[in-house]
Amino acid sequence: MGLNIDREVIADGVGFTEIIDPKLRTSVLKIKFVTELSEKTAQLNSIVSLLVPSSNSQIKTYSEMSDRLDALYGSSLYSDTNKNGDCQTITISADCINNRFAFDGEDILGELLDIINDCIFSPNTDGEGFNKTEFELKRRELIESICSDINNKRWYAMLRAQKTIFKGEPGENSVYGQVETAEKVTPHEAYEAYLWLLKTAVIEIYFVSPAEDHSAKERFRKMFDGMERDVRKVRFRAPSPLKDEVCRVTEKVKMKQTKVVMAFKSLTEKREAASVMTRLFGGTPFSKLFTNVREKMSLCYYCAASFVYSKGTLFVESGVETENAEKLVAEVQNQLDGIKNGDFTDEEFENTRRFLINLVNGVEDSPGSLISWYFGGRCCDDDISPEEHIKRLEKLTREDIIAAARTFSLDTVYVMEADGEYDGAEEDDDE
Amino acid sequence: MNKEIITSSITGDSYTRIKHKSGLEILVWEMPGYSSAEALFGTKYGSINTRFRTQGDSDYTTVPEGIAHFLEHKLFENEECDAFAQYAKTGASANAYTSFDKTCYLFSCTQNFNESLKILLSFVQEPYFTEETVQKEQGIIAQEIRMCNDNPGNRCFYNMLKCLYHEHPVKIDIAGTVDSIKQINADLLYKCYNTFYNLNNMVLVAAGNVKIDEILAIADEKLRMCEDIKLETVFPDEPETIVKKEMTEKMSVGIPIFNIGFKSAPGSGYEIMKAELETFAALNVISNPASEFYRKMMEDGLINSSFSNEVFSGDGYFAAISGGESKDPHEVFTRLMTEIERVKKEGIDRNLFESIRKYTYGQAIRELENPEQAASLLINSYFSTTTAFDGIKAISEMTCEDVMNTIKTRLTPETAVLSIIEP
Repeated sequence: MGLNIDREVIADGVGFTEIIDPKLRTSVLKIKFVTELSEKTAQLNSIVSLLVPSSNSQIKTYSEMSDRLDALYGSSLYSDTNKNGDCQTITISADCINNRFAFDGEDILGELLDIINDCIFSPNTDGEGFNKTEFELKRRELIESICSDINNKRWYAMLRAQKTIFKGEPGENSVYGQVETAEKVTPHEAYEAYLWLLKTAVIEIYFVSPAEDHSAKERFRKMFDGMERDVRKVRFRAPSPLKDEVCRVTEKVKMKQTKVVMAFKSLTEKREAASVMTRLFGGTPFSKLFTNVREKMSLCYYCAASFVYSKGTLFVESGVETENAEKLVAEVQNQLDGIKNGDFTDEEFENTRRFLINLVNGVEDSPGSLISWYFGGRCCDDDISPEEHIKRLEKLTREDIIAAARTFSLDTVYVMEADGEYDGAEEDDDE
Repeated sequence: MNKEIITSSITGDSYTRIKHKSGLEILVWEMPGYSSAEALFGTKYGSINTRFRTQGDSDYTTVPEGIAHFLEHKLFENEECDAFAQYAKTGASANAYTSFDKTCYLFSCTQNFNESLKILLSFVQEPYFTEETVQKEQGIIAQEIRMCNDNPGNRCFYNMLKCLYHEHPVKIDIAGTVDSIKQINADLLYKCYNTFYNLNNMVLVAAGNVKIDEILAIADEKLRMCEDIKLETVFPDEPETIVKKEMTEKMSVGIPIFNIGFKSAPGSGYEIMKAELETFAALNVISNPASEFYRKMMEDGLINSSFSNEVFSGDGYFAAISGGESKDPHEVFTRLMTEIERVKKEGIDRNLFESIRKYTYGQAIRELENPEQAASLLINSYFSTTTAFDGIKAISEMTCEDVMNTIKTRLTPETAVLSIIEP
C-alpha cells in the first residue's frame, strides 16, 4: 500500500490519473469515454470502439498494426465496451512490457504512446468517414460477435434477463447493439459518433507504470488543449425501479442445462453494507447459497450472487436441471429471507468481512485491478482508496447487514429452459 | 534438505527449489513489494491417468473416467468440516482445478498466509470419503458436466481430440460423463488417493509476499514422510496416425466454430518445451494477424478476430491447433493447408519471424507480472521438468531455421483434422 497516485484534470471533463509502482513489469494506459447509454448510440459506439484501436492515419490496416505491436514485444492495443448503470463506457487500452526487457534498448513505451495517440486523435479516415475497408471488417466482426452471444449460455441468459429486469430503462440495451441496426450503420455515421464522443463524453484516462514518466499525460494534455469540448454530464447511479409485481419470464433454448437469473432490487446507498451482505448471501465458497443450494441440496454447480450498485440490483445466477428450477428459486428466496431475519452467525459475518478485506488488500498488485478500483469509485461518486474502504468495512455491524438485506425485494425471475426442440430464444412471457 | 537457487540471466529474477525430506518438491519465489501471495499444492494426477500400478500391485488398476476431478471435489471435505470453512477463518480465496495431467489446490491471500498454508497442507493430506458424501457430490458434478456440455468451444475441442487420438485417454472429458461418475465409490477414491497423492509425486509452490524460512518450518510441521511407492502409469499404444479427418456436431451457436488440429510426436523436458514454443511460432508465422494469409482470410469474410493458435502438449500427446469462428470452416481448412505448403516451399518471412519472436518473448515476460502468474509458471515448470525461466531462454535463442523445421515436421496435412460445431 502507499502508491504514488495522482489525478489531474487536464482538460474540460478529462481526468488523467497516474499511478507509479516500481514493482511492475508492464505499463498500462486506459482511456475511458463515458456517455449515456441509448439503443442508437450504443450501436454506433460499439463499432467505434472496434475501429479506433485497429488502425490510424499512419498505420492503415489491422495487419500492419498487428505487425507493429508484435515487434514492440507483443504490446497490446484493444478496446471494450461496458455498461455502468445507465451509461456506456468505451475503453481503449494499451499495454507493453518495461523498456528494460527490450533486446536492443528500444523505447517500447514511447513508440506505443505514439501509436495510441494517433489512434485517438488522428484516426484512419477517408473523406468524411472511417476508412471503408477497415469499417467493413469491423462491422462484420461486431455482427458475428453479437450472433455468438448465444455460445456462452450463462452470459446469454444474463443478457436476455436484463431485457426484462431493466425494461423501459437505458440499461435494458445491449452495449453491442443489434445485428439489424449494425447492418445499416455507415462509415460516416460512425466517424460522426466518434467525434461526438471526443467532444461530449466524460473522459477518464489511467496510466499505470513502473517508472515515473509524465510523457503520456503531457501528450494528452497537448492534444486536448484547444479542442472544443461540450461535456455532457452522465448519471453513473440510476437505481432500477422495483416492479409492482414479480415478473416471471421463461424462454426455451436448445441446450442441456437450464439457467436461472433472479434480480432483487434496492434503493440503499449503503454500498459497503450491501456488498458484504451480497458476499454473505452468495459471494464466497462459504456463503449461504454455496453451502445450502449447492453443497446441502446438490442442486447445482454454481449459484452466485453479485451486486450492481449503480443499478441497485442484486443478481443471482445458477444452472440446474429443469425440474429443479422452481426448487432453486424458492431456496434462494428462503436464504435471503434468512439473512433479513438475522439467521447468520457472528462468525459467518466476520469471515465474510475478512474475505472482502483480503480481496481489497490485493488491489494494488496489478495494473488492471488498480484501474478498475479507481474508475469504479468514480462511477459510484465515491473516489476512495482501498485503505479507506477497508476502514468502512471494519465499522460495519451485523445489524447493518440485516438492514441492507431488508432493503432488497424480488423483482424478476428469468428462466432459460433447456429444450431440445428450439433453436433460438422463443419467448413465453408471463409478465 | 536439498536447496537450489534458480536465477534468470535475462530478467535477474530468482526462486528457490527445495527437495523436502518428506519427498515433496517445494518451489518458493519471494517477490518484494507485493501485498498478495499465492500457494498451490499439486499432484501429477489428471484425467489421463486412468491406468496405473505401484510396487505392491501385481496388476494394473483401471478406474472410471473423471475420477481425478471427482477426487479433487471430495478432498475439500474432511470428517469435521470442509476446507472452505477453515479458509473462511483466514480470509484466503481458495480453489482447485483438475486438468489432463495434474490436480492443483490453491489459495491466494494478503494476510494470514502461514495459517492458510497449514490448512492447505492439512486437508490435502487428510482424505475422508464415505458412500453418502460420494453420492451427494454426483449431483453437483453432473451439473458441472452439463454446463461444460453446453459450451460449444469445449465440445469442439474434445471432438478434435477424438479425431486425433485412437487410444490415448486425452480424448476423454476431464470431468468424465454423467454415467461414468456413477461408477465412482469411496474405495476407488481411496485407491487413487493413496496412489497419486504420495508426496514424491507432488509439488508445493508459493510466490509473492512469502518467506521461505516460514514455509519450510510449516512444511516440517505438517508434511508426513512418504515412501516412494514406484508409481507407474501406463497409456495404451497410440499410433502416429489420426482417427478420422473430420467431426461435426450441431449445437446452439451463432456461427460455426472450428478447431484444426495437427497431431505430432510428444515428448518431455526442455526439448518438448522448446518444441512447444517453436510450434507456436510456426503457427503464427503462417496465420497470425500480421500475416498475409490472415489478412486475406479476414477480407474474404472467412475468419474474425476470434481466430487464434495454441499448442496442446502433455504426457503422450502433442497437437498444434488453430481455431475460431467461420461461416465456412472447410474453406479455412483448405486454405490453411495450402498456405502451409507454400511456406514449406518458399520459406518464412524473416521480418515476420522476428516480430513473432519478440511477441512471444513479451508474453513470457508478462507471465512474471504478479504472484498468481508467477506461481502458475512455477507449478507448470515442475510438471514439465524444466525451470520457470527456460521458456524465456528458449525464445531468446530461437532461430528462423528452428521454426522452418517445425513447420516441416509438425504441420503435416496427413495428421491434420477438422472439428466443427454448427448451428
